[in-house]
Amino acid sequence: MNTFKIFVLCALLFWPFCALAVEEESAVENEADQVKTGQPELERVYIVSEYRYEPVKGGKDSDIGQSLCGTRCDALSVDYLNYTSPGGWRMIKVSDKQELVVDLDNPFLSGKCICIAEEYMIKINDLYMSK
Amino acid sequence: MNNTITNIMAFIIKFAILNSLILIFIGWAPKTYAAQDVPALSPEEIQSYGERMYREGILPSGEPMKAFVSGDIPVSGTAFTCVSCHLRSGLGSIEGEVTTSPTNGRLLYEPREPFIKGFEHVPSFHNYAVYFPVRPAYTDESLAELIAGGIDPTGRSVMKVMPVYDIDDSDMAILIAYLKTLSEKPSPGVSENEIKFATVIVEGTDPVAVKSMIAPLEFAVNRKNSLSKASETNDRVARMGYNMLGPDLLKKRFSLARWILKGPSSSWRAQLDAYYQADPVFALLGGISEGDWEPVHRFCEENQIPNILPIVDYPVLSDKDWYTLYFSRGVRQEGEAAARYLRGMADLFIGRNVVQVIRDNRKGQALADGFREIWADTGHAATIDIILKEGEQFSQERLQQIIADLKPAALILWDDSSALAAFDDFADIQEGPGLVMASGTFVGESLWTVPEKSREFIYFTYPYRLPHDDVRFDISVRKVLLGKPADNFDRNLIKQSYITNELLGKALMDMRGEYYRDYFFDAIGMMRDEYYPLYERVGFGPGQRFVSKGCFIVQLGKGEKPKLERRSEWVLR
Amino acid sequence: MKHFCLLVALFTFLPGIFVATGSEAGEGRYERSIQSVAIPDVVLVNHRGEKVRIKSLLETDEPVIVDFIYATCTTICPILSAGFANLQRKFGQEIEKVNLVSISIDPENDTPKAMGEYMERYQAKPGWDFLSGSRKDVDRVMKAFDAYFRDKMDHQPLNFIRSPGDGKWLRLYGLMSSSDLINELQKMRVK
Repeated sequence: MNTFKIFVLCALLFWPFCALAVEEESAVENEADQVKTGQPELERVYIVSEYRYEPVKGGKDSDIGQSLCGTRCDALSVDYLNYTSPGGWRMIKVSDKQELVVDLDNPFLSGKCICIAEEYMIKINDLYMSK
Repeated sequence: MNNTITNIMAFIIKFAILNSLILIFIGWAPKTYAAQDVPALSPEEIQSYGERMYREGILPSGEPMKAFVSGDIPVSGTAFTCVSCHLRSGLGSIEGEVTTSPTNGRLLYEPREPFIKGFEHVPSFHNYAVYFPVRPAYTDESLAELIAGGIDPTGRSVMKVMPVYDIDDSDMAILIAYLKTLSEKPSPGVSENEIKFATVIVEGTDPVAVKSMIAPLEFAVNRKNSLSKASETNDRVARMGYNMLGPDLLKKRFSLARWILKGPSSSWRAQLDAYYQADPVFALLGGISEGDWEPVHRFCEENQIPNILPIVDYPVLSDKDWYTLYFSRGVRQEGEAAARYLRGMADLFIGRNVVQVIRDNRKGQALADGFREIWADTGHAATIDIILKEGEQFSQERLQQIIADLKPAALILWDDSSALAAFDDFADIQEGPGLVMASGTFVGESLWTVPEKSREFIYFTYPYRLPHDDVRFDISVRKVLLGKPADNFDRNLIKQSYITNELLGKALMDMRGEYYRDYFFDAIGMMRDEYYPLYERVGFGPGQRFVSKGCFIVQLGKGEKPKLERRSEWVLR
Repeated sequence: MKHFCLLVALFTFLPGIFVATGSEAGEGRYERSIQSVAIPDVVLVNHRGEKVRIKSLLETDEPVIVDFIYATCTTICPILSAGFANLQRKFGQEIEKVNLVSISIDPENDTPKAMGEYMERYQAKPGWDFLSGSRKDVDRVMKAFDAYFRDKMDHQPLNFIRSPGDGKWLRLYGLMSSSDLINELQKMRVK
């Protein structure tokens, strides 16, 4: 009987805290929803570590191809500081170095451009009290 | 016994004398510099000769100074000028592991202590002085010894980083006289309790644009003044302010005057002179003009007044001008980026033309000029330029005729959105150009409504961070709006002015209480690259006067709500 | 007696000689180490505006010296570049036998024009190339040399000398005098 009384007492004491917790959760969810409508929370980006251009057999555009492939792969790659500087976002590695074939979209070049990139996901940083 | 000792002593004395004679012969005796009168020249002449020695390494005779680096082989003083390390204000620099001490007379002729006097307890200040050992004050003689011999008054050698200069006594006197005038009294516009700023507004500019430019600047000024005011009564704020700004900057209030320029640009110079005469300011912040900016640029240059980040599309481009810091090279920068992008593949065009279609207004001409300037260095044939006069619409027929007649490998379109309709059936054209390039800012909102089938061959220049990436920076921009709805303002201009606000704070804090206009720019030049709203990356550097150096080449992606996709990096080389 | 006097004379003399020669010469101390570098296959642009595939520029049969500078640099680069300029002057006619490569760590600002002006200031002769490129490509080269600085303001004085024999690089860290650099190069060539 005594144990029961103590239990009831504790329940009554802690009840307000539970209520508060529920309130907070929903507030956070609402905020997350708001941001979601503003822009997608999950975005995937690449960071390219190296690239190569494979000219077609007998092709002599190896140097230009390498240079333009570099431009394309570097365009695909992101500068991670653009995601970490504003605060509130974090990058999570999704895949290790994978080879991506990028369309050079150039009628004057016939070879293949391959970027070796890691894929990252951009998420709101809700782990910490960030900026 | 006594005899032997006397003999020995005589011997020692003789050898000591011989020793000294030999050493003097070798040249070890310290070079004595008689503090001679500075040669009979007017103060202006001394100033200009001394400045030439300091900034260009050229002696009054016109010859380059002779410098000896690391104690060994001579180099020309023009490669190793004083200004390159001590900077224009003479207040020194910090780069990597090397800290250069101030070389202006006022600080040289004071003894150096391990803390900046008055700021002994400011933790956030970069107490550069701790990097240098304590030394007594210089005199004219010991300063000459340092410059010519590389030894400071404590006997320490500075030759590891600083060259020694072989110049004669009268030139040395001129240089020392110049150093005494360098950064001596604080610049105008700074008093004990106030720093005055102004912003230049051309009358007739769109009021929303003016409002957007001013709001972040007023935010900066008001925030600083509230901090000053609050620190007078609130201890906690006082402590925070002291730690962040130092006692001197904390107590100073800022003021921002508006200098409104009326009438034609030829009359602006007189108005600026009048404003300045009435109330001299330390620096100009921001500023806005939809057309000319040159009179303001000249005013700043000739009066040596800094102007940071005016919002202009047509900045004055110069390799030597010092006193205005611009966001970018303006509209031209897009043309330059387009040329660099094409240059990379120009060898593949195999003699085919590059055609520019140019709207005959200021914007179109600026874009075309930028393109031509970069294209000229490539060694390829010049572009074929087709001018669209006022009121002339770029039609599909015109486009097809150009393609048939000139068979261009690439077509560059410097026109507004009305020209995009000509490309609706582009995909059907046989043997058309491999790509079409247009200006993202010129076509404006039509950038987002390019029909799907045209998207794969039309490229745009886009001089900002992509919008879907820039939203992450919105939160910092909202800060300066203080709750006002963002729709009342021009988003891009608010972002630009936000950068000015940030830069002002940083630069003033870095100046450590030394309020000199040249040092203002020197401090900005030592800042690290930043990631601010609007521009993908902004960078600084000693003498660099354009903070954004990049412009993306983009294409519109697929689908109903397309995103812009990059096809180049931020800065193309 | 005579010997004693001679000894006294010697000891009076010697300090004088030491003081007169060498102590003030700014012989900086620097650190040496050997490292392997996997040069990335990127295309940079030189101060004449020509595209250069850096792998073929650096992996040759001749000695190569590489340093990292930028055109508006204030303190460290003038010393590094003066070293290169002096090296070129010293070698005179034989200069084609050594390749000097300066790589810009401020590619945003260093256009071929800006680099050309820098080279003129140091009276650079053929055989010394100043390279710039895209930011990411330059980062790749810096990382390959283990000389990556996220910001140009944090850069350090580094010279790298390649030995054509085994393809390894000698890393020289510190502000060196020209004579030190020339000595290191001679040692490398002799190998």
